[in-house]
Amino acid sequence: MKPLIWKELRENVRWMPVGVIVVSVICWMARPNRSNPGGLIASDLVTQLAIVTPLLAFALGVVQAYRDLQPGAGAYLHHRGVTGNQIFMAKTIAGFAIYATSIVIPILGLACWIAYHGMSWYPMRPAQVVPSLAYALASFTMHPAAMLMMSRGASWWGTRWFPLIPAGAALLPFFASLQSGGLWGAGVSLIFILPLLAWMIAISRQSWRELSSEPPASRANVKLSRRWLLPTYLLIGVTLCWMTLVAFFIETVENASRPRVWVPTPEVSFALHSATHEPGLLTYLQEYDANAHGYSVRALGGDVVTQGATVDPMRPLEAPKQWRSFSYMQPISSTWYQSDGFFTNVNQLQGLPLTLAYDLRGYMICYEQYPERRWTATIARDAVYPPGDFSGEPFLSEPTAGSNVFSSFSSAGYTTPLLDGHGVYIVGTEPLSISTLIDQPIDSATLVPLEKGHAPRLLVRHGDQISEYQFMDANGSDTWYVDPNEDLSPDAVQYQSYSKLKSLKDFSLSAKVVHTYQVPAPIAESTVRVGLANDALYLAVYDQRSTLYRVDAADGFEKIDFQPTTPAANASQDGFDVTHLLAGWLPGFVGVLLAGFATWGSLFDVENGPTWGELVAMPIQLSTTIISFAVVTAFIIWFTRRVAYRRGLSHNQTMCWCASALLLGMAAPLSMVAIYRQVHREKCSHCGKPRRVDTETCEHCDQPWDRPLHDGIVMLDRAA
Amino acid sequence: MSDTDVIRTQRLTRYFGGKAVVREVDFAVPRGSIVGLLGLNGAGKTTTIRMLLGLLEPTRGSCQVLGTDSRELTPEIRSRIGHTVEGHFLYPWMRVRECERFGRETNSHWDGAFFERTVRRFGIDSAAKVSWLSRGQRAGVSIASTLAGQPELLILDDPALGLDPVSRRALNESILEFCESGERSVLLSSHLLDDVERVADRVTLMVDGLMVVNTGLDDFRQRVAAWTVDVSHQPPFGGSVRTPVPIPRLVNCRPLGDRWQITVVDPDEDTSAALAAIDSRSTEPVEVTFDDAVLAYLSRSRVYYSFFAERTP
Repeated sequence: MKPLIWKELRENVRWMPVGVIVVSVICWMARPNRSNPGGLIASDLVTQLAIVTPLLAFALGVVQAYRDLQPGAGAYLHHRGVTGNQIFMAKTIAGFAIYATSIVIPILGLACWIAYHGMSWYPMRPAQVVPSLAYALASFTMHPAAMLMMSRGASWWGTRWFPLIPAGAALLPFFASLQSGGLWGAGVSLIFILPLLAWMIAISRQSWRELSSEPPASRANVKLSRRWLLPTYLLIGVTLCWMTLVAFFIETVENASRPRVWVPTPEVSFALHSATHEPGLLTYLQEYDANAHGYSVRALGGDVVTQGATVDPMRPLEAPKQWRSFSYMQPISSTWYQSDGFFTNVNQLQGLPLTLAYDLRGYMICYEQYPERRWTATIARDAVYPPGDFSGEPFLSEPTAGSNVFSSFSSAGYTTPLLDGHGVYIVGTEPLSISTLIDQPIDSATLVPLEKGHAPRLLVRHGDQISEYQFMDANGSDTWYVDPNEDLSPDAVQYQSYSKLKSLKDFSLSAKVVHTYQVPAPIAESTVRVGLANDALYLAVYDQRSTLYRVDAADGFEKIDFQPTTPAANASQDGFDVTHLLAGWLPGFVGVLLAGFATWGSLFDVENGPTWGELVAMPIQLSTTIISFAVVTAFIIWFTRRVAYRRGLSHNQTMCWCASALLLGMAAPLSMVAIYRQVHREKCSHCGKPRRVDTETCEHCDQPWDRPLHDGIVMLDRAA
Repeated sequence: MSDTDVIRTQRLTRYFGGKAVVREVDFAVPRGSIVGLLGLNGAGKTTTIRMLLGLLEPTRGSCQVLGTDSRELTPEIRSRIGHTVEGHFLYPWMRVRECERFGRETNSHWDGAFFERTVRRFGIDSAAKVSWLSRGQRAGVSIASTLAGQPELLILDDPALGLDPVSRRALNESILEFCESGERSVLLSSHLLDDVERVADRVTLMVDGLMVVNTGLDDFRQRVAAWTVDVSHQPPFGGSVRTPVPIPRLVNCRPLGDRWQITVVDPDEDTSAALAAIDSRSTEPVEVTFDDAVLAYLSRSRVYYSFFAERTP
């Protein structure tokens, strides 16, 4: 095989400079500079390589396969002591060497450039090129896919390009995971990339080995039990194609039928009366406020929630501004700013004259912009360190992500604290410093406003405990907090801007636990919304409109069950639409999955899952889908039988494919077109029926073919 | 299959789509013979060769090469078959000596001396790049690469197409030198009849996908006879000669100025009687060359008749 590899390398090395130049341009574009200060090199590289590397691999596969598939070149290569398998493997190995070299050279160059400059200008590390290398490796699947496409005998206007679909689709999850996955994402992706590559190569190899035979349908259209790789691959490709096509049509129809004017939709939510501390169920409407140049939320009506009562969320309210909607306990594990798995995007923290990027190893990297861009400090949990010093205690999660909890502080004109899974911190300026305000593990948190003149309380959840923190100044009072928006509705969105924020550091704040609440066992695993009353906490689970929990600070909880008047929204949404008509074209397994989820949701009361009750509540849509599916399936089965006849399949094969059409829909007959060869028929001279040309005897009368008649001039001697 | 045959086909048939391009072909190539495969473009010669080499599978029927079904040729058997195609494919980026090295590394029975001799016969510098070579020189490298592998069977598909006379002579000499031992066989597909006549000892002729001739060269020449008849005094008769008695085994009838040449295979008394019945001023036998005989068969399908019984008027 060595001479074959050498031949492939020698023949195709001329394409390498093309790859090197293209990838070099991408590396040049991805490097951070003044016009691209984001620093998300890993993300930028993967995004730009997402198109280029599959195209490079595809093009290389095509040019490598094309030449040796020509009759002259094919004959030249085959008539020596080499196998088709060796030829294919030589092409794959040489192709990978050329492809890898053309990608690795520029990317390693970029890594060297990054290592040389370090983080002095922008947050960047050489390891940021690793995800793009992993993605480039995944993209090589397009090489065997291209060779598979070239080696197939199908029509270019038919199913010849189908092999590209699964390979291309397989790249999408890798793109999603590598774009922001960092080293961890690259490592996990590699676990899946290597089997994917092996699978693709095995499939393409099978097709290449069978290339020389190009068998008649009588040999090719037999049982697939011993050559399942390629048919399975084509089946997946066709199914993906068909589902994408149906989804595209549904999306197009929905877009065309969607109103161009935004219609606000009322939303039912829990709220707490600020004076009586009674819980209520209110209907809110979000509208665009032209005066405020933004969206505002208005209460349309509501009712007080009491045990066993029937609650009308649209009942007119006397003083809707006295109701405060429940606060959402925000999980703090997520990253607030965009990240590439190594750093977050460079941003400015309110109140700080520096730009910050969060290094996902647990540090805030601070950059000074003027007069010169430079790395000035590294903020750790315990202290501020000089540039290059990572000896501090790292944050557990991105602290600015947690500081989103304190958005009302910034709207009131204060700097916002940082918050991570370890606690809450206050950053001071001149000199840059950090101090711990709350030191406890945090899963989720929210800030709840109190009555006028008092600082809001912070509710921090860890496990099944929620702690209520009060922020006090040096005098032990929480009256230091002044919110200029307090006279307005708490639900209205305000757009304040402050020339200078008041630093929390100046108030010498401390935090004290006022109460600790136990989350009731039935909702211990759920994400909750909370309303804070005197010595009590109301908890509601998202999407549950008929149950509320009142937890006392002292001990115990009360479950409040009530009956909200059912809004007619669902009933009014049911009706005939083209979307559900088109849904009948989806493969049957989608319906089976939906039915499975609905059964699961009905049996186990799964949050956010479909239930049979919800499906049956839409009788018109459900029946439209079922009738459409039945009609479409009848057509598909007829079509499948027709395709099976044209492919000369046996009765058992036809029955199996008809059965599979129930689950695969139109993908079944289309797969048959892709997998099997068409058989041709001629009129039988014995029985007059059309007979297959690739069988020795007529399938109807069992007679062999007649020899052509000559008129006495044929000259064949004994040796012939 | 006889042990003396290196190629044997049985009802070999190939369709492309719904069209049969090779139909029910039965023929054999005896060991040690050089067989010329002749036919018009589209007659099915290349398709037959591709099926023999296992590059194309028969739609029905079978073919055996060196005792093995051509659908199951192993690399070892393939290496015993030499093959060149028209145009003489070579990698243009290789130098001649690299072609030799590539051949040596991919063939188990490589004869480097034979390669050198053949290349010298074509006057080629072994340091030259293939892309620099003339068509004739490329043919030389190609034939040298093929023959140096010492195949038992050589299948050549129009190897002399576009070559100058000197290169053609060198090619023919190489083929003859290759077959000197009498153990090697050649299937030579060509349009150049004098080349075939010079090197082949058997001739096969394909017309419209059918094999109509497969016999020794001398036998072929001897069994075909021709006469010229002068029917200039007769009114035209549908572009042919009015024959009161049908001429048996008529291959071709073509105009030669005022006269017509009638070509017949295996003439006998019936042929003489049919010719005598023609109202002609004179009927004269003419000498039939190999070219005349082949062209009579080939012209018949294109101009006057068809070999398919169902298409016979």
